[in-house]
Amino acid sequence: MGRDGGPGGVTVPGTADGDGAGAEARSAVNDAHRREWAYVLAATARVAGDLDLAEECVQDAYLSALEAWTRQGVPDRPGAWLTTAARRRALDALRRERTLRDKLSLIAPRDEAADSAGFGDPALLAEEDIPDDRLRLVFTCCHPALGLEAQIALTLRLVCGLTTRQIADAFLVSEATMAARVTRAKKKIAGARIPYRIPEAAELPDRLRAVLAVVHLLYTTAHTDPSGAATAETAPPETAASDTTPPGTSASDTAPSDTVTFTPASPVSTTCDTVTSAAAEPHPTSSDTVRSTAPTGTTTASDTVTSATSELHPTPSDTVRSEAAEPSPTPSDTVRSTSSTPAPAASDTVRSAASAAHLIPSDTVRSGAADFAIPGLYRADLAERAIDLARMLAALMPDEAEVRGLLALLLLTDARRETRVDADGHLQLLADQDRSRWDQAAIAEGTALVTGALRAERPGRYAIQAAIAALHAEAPTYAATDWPQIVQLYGVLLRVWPSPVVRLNRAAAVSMADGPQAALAEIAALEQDGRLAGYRYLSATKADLLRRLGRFSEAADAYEAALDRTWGAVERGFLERRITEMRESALRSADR
Amino acid sequence: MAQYLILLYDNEAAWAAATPERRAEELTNHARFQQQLAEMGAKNLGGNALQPSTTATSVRGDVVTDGPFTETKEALGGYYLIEAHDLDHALAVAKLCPVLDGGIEVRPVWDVTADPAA
Repeated sequence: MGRDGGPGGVTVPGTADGDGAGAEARSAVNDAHRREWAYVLAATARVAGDLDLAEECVQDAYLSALEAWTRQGVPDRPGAWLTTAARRRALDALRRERTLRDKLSLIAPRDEAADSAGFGDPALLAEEDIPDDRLRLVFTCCHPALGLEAQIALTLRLVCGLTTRQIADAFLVSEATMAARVTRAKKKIAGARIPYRIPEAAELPDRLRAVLAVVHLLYTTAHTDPSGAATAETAPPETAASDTTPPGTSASDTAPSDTVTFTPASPVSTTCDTVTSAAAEPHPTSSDTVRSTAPTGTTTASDTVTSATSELHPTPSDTVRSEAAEPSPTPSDTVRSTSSTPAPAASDTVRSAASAAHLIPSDTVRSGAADFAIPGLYRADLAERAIDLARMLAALMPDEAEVRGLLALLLLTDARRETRVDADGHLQLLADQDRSRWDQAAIAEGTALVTGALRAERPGRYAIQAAIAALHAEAPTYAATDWPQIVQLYGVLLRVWPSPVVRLNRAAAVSMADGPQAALAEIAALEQDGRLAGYRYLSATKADLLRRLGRFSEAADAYEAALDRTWGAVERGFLERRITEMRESALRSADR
Repeated sequence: MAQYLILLYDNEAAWAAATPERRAEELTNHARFQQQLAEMGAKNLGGNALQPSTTATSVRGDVVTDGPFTETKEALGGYYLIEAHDLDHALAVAKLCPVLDGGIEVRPVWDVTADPAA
């Protein structure tokens, strides 16, 4: 079993298909792979003292499980069975390689050093009492000493159990590139002694923020169409500045928690019937423009500022791509890199691997851009993985409100996934989506979570964004959405996360609550601010407001400014249609 | 415990322009840092300040040239060799290390005897 092959494809050789016990065992192994991988690996890593060895032992354990379970039946606790098997293998391997003495000599003195490194504690070998080390694993994978791309790759590989191939496909890089990335990251963990440990209380907020950013980025990546034709409704990215020095303690200190008055399903008083179209214009992908204005450069993860008002702010996962492309003016170097992988071949391989591990939900093909349907497929799976991760974290850290906030945000956003793109693959604005097809179970779960998360002393940005998403999810129609409350929530969000992108989203909500004229003042302030200079969603939002005010000629100019900075075909088509309409309307009103 | 080299990249221009008082203050800062390091349970295995990079001489093959190996705005100005539990511990120490208008790089020391293949 090649290490580079990775753990994910537990292919299940040699059992006759018709065999009942074999089929049951196979299904149990697949199930355990999806559910227990992180648990088994995390517990094994502590014994193995090395992630590579641990992975190998865990994969071995899964393979042996198939045979053993076919013969003896599926154990009551498959996870415990697998963990015991994997840890025994790890020990055997350590002995066999006669590195045991060396490894233990690092550990045996039981000094603080060994404890803090957290790997290889022989006291943990008691088979009955297997600790849940999944958080250690997650925090190690998302250690800030690793690059963001490495954090993501390691999380998918070690926590989710995906193969390198699967991860490479999801991020549109070659398998070799992804393998190198994973290997480099593992070497750094071993070489620099990145500890296998849950951070101490003092570090926890920062470290947790990094973990949540990885999970969120996974989700938003799933909804970013690599062709630049937006299929996402997540927001534009932020600059590093506002993410890494995020809520600025002073800012959040001044945000009294009681200002968050979130009233799910509150009676709708506003009527904005005149405004039936989208509050915001398509805010599709990519952030290069924003990035270029931010000297610090690296865009961050993610930022679903919106999922809300504008529905169209797909998130560019530039961070994910950035390895390939530095400041790339074109949509994506990654797109180019796909062409090097013959799509059909890739799809076959991955599909077979995936079917073993239940990777691909049957209805995932919904990408609008046919050329990229295959990457889109895998990307959709990332969304499920991200939600799984958020669920796991919420279960493991029940006291962290922001973790529940993130889970709520993902669920509420995901509830709309079926309606985001129409049958022809065209983006559907929030205003136009068929609300009867939204996933009510996900909405109910997300709304319950967000209500709890907002009770935290200082609700974080995910919880607040989730509250906004919940209001959208519960609104019977676009016009009958509780816009005043959404505006208010954006105000709260701005305090914990003072970003011009949040402000832009707030402006879009203001246009629905108080009319486009009020929102234009906000836009003017943002233009003055300058940080969003060249940001096409700023132009597009302004254009929409002008259109709604009947200032067609100015609207056309603003649409053109947006068009200049847009490459995605779907997006460009939309803007071009608008420009034509505006020019015609301008002529007609001039005639009058 | 593992060994880490803490590399101090200072802005040499800032140091050159510093007043005698400012330089004295910087030395005091380093004395304090060495104390803090020990209090945190790390070990100071040695360290030095370096003469400015203008005094550097590079050798590549047989060719000897004036200047440092790589020209950067922030030049290697000194180092500490420390022993720490793990990277988090080393980073916590490094965050306290004084540096003049520059930054710190932390590099694990490669223990060739224990792990020749790394």
